[in-house]
Amino acid sequence: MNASPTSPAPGPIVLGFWPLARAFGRSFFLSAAANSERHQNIGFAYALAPVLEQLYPQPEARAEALTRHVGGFSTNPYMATALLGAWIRIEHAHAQGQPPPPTAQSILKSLESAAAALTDNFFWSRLRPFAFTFAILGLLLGVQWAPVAALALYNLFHFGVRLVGFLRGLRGQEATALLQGIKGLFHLHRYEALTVWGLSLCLGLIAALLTRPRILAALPLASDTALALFLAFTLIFYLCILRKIRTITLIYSSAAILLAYVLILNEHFPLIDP
Amino acid sequence: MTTSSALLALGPLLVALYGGLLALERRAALLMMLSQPIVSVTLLGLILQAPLLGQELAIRLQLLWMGSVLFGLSPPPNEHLVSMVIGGGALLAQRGLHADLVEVEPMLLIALAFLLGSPFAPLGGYLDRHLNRRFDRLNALADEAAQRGETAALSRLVRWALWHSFWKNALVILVGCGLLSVALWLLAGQIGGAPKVALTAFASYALPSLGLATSFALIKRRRALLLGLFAFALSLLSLPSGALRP
Repeated sequence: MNASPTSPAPGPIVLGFWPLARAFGRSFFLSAAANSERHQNIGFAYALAPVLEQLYPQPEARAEALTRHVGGFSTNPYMATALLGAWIRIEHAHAQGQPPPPTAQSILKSLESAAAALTDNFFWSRLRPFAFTFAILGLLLGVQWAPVAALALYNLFHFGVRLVGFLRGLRGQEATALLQGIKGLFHLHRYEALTVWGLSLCLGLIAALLTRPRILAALPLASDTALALFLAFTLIFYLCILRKIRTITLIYSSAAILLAYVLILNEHFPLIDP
Repeated sequence: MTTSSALLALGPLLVALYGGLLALERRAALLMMLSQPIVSVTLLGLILQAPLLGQELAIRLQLLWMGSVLFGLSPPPNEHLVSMVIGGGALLAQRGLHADLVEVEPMLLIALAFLLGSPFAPLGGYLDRHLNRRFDRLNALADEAAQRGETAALSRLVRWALWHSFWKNALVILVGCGLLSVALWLLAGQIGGAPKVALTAFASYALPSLGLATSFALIKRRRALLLGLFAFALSLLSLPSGALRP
């Protein structure tokens, strides 16, 4: 019996270690050609390519598989490896003659946004500010390796989620349980709360270190006045940011106000002794 | 060629190569956060042999752009590009001035660098949007490669995109850092009197407090905010002034 050019190759196919390792390595370049129309589609097809080369030696079948993946892909880059693993498993089954379940593609598509929702907030808005605020605190305390420690902390979660996601996706965990399982395994929900408290604590300590008299002595002010000025600035800026005023606007307006005060108002309301 | 002019000529090239590579790390590959200002500018300070100024710049830049995260379809101001321009410009200018035996107050240099270099943050956001649109054109090529089953063609597209991201970021950093370091080198020694006091106040008070406010604004839980205030008050009362930092 002649197989059609696009039909999958029959019989068992053993996926080697190297195609899987290459696919995982290439997942680090997922956003290399990120674009506004189809997001990470090229990076995702590029990551799958070593596996597809082994699964589909015939160009026609490979073309069909590649076409499935250049259509569009958008998720959190760290969690993408879980979906990459799941897709490798589906393509592996397909190449051995098992048609993918009709809902598999739509489930995995819907998981892209679910994966992003689960991890975007934790990595970008929680762990990242906490880790690098911790680095600032360390530097202010004279700990020179603090940025390295912050990187290690961040990447512990980063590489962990990438690797475990990839392995679980490959292992064939049920799609809907896959992402929740990864979130649960790393206790992301628990660390999310911890990082918020940690961030706040670090910022409070940083504020105290930045208002020490030795640093405020940059200006000829009484230490009480200097502290009051610093706190007033922080409060005003905080309220402005809550009102969505842009950082760059605040940079220039604060510089202009300070210059105007020193040049004009200081004569009538002396605060600074130039 | 004097030492200062040699530094100003070759320094921006070094910063551009370094910044271009880290721009790839920020947007296109790895995403290990090596491009965060507290890491990249601190390291740049060590490379350019001005670690203390590097740290002062890095702390302000990190606090100020803490809320800037590249995800979704609307890129925020580019914290990496602006950090490389401000950090590189100020560090090179200080080295140039030092070679000319001109001593300038670091806070004055920081204030001028922020005032002159900050427009590179929105400019970097524009560059991110430009790259997104530029890479839209790769989709047709990716479709063709997929229809032919050519995985090598997809690899070429990815390499082209990486190269494109690298050189465009490096070029902007080269121009920005070069112009800023020369401007600082020329300006910093000329400013005195009241403007100097105002600029010193800007770098010592306004920038750190704006950075703290930006970072505090990321905290949406009221009780966590209270913890921050409590930690601030407690440490202010209990820490001996200047005792912690060597």
